[in-house]
Amino acid sequence: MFFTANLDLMPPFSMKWPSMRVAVVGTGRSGIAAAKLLHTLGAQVQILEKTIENVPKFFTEWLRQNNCEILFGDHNVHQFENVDLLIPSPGIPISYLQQFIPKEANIHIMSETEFAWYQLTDEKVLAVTGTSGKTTITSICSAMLKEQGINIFVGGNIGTPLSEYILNKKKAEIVLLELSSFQLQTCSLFRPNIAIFANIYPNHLDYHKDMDEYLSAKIQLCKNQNKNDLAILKSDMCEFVDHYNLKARIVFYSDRGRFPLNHLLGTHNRENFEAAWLACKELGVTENVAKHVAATFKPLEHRLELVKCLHGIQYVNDSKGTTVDALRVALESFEQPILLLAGGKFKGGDLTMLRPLIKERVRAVGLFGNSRGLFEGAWGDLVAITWDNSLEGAVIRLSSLAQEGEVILLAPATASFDQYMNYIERGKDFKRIVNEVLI
Amino acid sequence: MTRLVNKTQRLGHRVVSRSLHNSYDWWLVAITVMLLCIGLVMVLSASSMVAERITGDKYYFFKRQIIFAGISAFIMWITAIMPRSLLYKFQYPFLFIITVMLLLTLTPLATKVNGASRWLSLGVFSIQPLEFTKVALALYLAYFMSTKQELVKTFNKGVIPPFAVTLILALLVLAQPDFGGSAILIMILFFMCLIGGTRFIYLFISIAVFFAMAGALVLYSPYRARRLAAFLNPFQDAQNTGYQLVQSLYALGSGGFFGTGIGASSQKMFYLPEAHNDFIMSVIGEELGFLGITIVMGLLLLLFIRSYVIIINQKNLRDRFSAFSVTLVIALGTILNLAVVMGMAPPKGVSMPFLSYGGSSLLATMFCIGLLLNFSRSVK
Repeated sequence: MFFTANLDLMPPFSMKWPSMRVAVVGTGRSGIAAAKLLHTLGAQVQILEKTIENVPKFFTEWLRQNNCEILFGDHNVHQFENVDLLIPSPGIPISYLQQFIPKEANIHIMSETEFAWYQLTDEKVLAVTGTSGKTTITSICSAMLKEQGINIFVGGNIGTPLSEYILNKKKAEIVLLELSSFQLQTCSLFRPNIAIFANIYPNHLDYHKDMDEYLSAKIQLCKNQNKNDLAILKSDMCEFVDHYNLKARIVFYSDRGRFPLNHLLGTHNRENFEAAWLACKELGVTENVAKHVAATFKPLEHRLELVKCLHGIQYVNDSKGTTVDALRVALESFEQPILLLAGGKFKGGDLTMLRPLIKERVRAVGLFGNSRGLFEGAWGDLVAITWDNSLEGAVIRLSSLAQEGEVILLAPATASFDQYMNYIERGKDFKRIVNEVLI
Repeated sequence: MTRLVNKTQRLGHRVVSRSLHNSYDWWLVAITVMLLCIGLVMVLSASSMVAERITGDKYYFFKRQIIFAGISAFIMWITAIMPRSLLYKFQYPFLFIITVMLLLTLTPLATKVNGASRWLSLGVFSIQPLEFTKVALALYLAYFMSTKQELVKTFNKGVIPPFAVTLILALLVLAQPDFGGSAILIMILFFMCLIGGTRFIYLFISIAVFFAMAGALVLYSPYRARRLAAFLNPFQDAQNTGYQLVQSLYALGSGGFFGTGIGASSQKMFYLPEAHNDFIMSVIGEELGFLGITIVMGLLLLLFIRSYVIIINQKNLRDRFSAFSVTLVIALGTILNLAVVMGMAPPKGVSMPFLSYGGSSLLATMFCIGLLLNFSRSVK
């Protein structure tokens, strides 16, 4: 992305970590892990962090003990002057950082994932990305591989940074990584043995400049693969192969109904499972194991999660559904009439696209939080829309409206930051309301 | 220009030497082959893990380097056996092509890496025009200084043409931007002027102008000013800049006498597209130890000794200057790379002749060796 991975270039590549001065920006989990790993490799590390309060105490201790420098405050040009390599935290927009990097400086930007990836030895790498479904696919893969008895490491966007795996030195056979577009954007040579592409929807437009940048970031997952690697793409992604000149062995997946799923709801989840199966098959997972996992795998919290069935009404928590397309997927998962809970910090997308679905499947919409005008403008003429200040109010209102056999679905199509810390808190609040407030 | 050869020895070998009148400097060939082999082994050792990570093929870079070595050995051979007059005929076309290539690096046709466009992609591989520019400039200056000896002392005809040519090339390289590359071109000019006999006054003035312009360039960019200040005063910020020097020296010495073994340091390698330095020498120091470094330095020293013999035994002035100029190119590369590795020069991305990975550098170097072998025919 920021450099064309052209292996025909002939740079003097005999670079050694001890000769490098590396700036790590941000003291999130991945930044901390990267800093520690860099120090272990002998590189000279400099940490840049905007807010002092963000730095965990144990890390301040570690920095002191290891004589590493940390610079606080707003970024400025001077911080990047003596730096060879930059490892940014995934949450930081690169366009923002680039204004501080002097053009002559020739500083390479590398993601923490790619940095740690260089330290792997013979582990096979399975990487998953996509707008939605990546955590589900990663979790299914993890379940299948573990069930098969294969020693794996699961990390990346899903939790543990790859650098921590390297630092812990507990060797696994397979490294399973969930990667967001933020991480992929700063990857240049990263090459997984197996890549799974969940899907692409407009997302994070508040971060990436536009869909093009978002797409090119995501496709970085497959860009460096060669014919010995495998790319598992959704069936509607055929044009990507030619457009981006992908060289991997390609397999397209769709819902075949191959393994009946007991707990996972929706077509999209059947597709997710199929994708995971195609990957794990390559890694030695048998059909029996896959069947077993299909029968027992429970969805992840806040992702189309059935909270409770009360008076014949299903209460489903899809707080993770922060986009319009996630909402579409959620709506398509149910045949019964839906009472939809929506509202919050809108991230972009076209709500009017959902009008046919709303008309067909949604009986009532209970809004809460911000973006009221947006929703009312898009669907106001199709369905009865109400608004409450809080989620609790909206839930109580809808539960009094709902009838037996219907679904009350929390699929807000927005981020939660107007009223909650994150989608997890929003989901937890919903579960609390359903379990404790409703009678 | 005294002959080193002993008269009695010559008489004794007259019969033999007549039949071997076309004898090349086989010492030079042997040294070159040995350095090449060491280079190939080091490329394999340094790159295998990185290659496997990036491409899935441990031998990816090694295979390419073998091909580069093969092609450049062929070039060396051709250059060595070709009649000198024919080689000299190609001088201006060579210079012209190089200038065109440099111009191309400034167009969108060039591959841009981290904001610098030093490479021209030719499909399967890329070339770095700078490597050939050094040779072309050196040979041109040799031609000028040798054939226009009577003009060299003058300004209009003796100073301006070589300076102008160098400046144009240096500016084109500077525009890439490649400060290290343009500095090397200026250094080539300086040394060639020195042996060519340019008046010292002109040299002093031009050095002063050069430093003034360089100073202006540096001051114009606060970033560069700071880097220069940090470099010039390493103890001011020991944490930052003194660190690299210490690290390099440590790596050079950390291999012990015999080294940690080939392949031992490959875990620490990774791939950077536009690297700042090339640390292959410190890899050698670590993996092959003190013994290895000594052998490599010894071979390089022998190479320069053989070059010296060849240079001073040239009867023709142009031949002598040309032999000197190509030796200069190799020597500058060697010294600058070592200086960076030892922390004595700011990182400038200069590759080590024979030992660094890369086709352009190897081709240019082997071309120089070929020329030296060509000149060695005239020795004895």
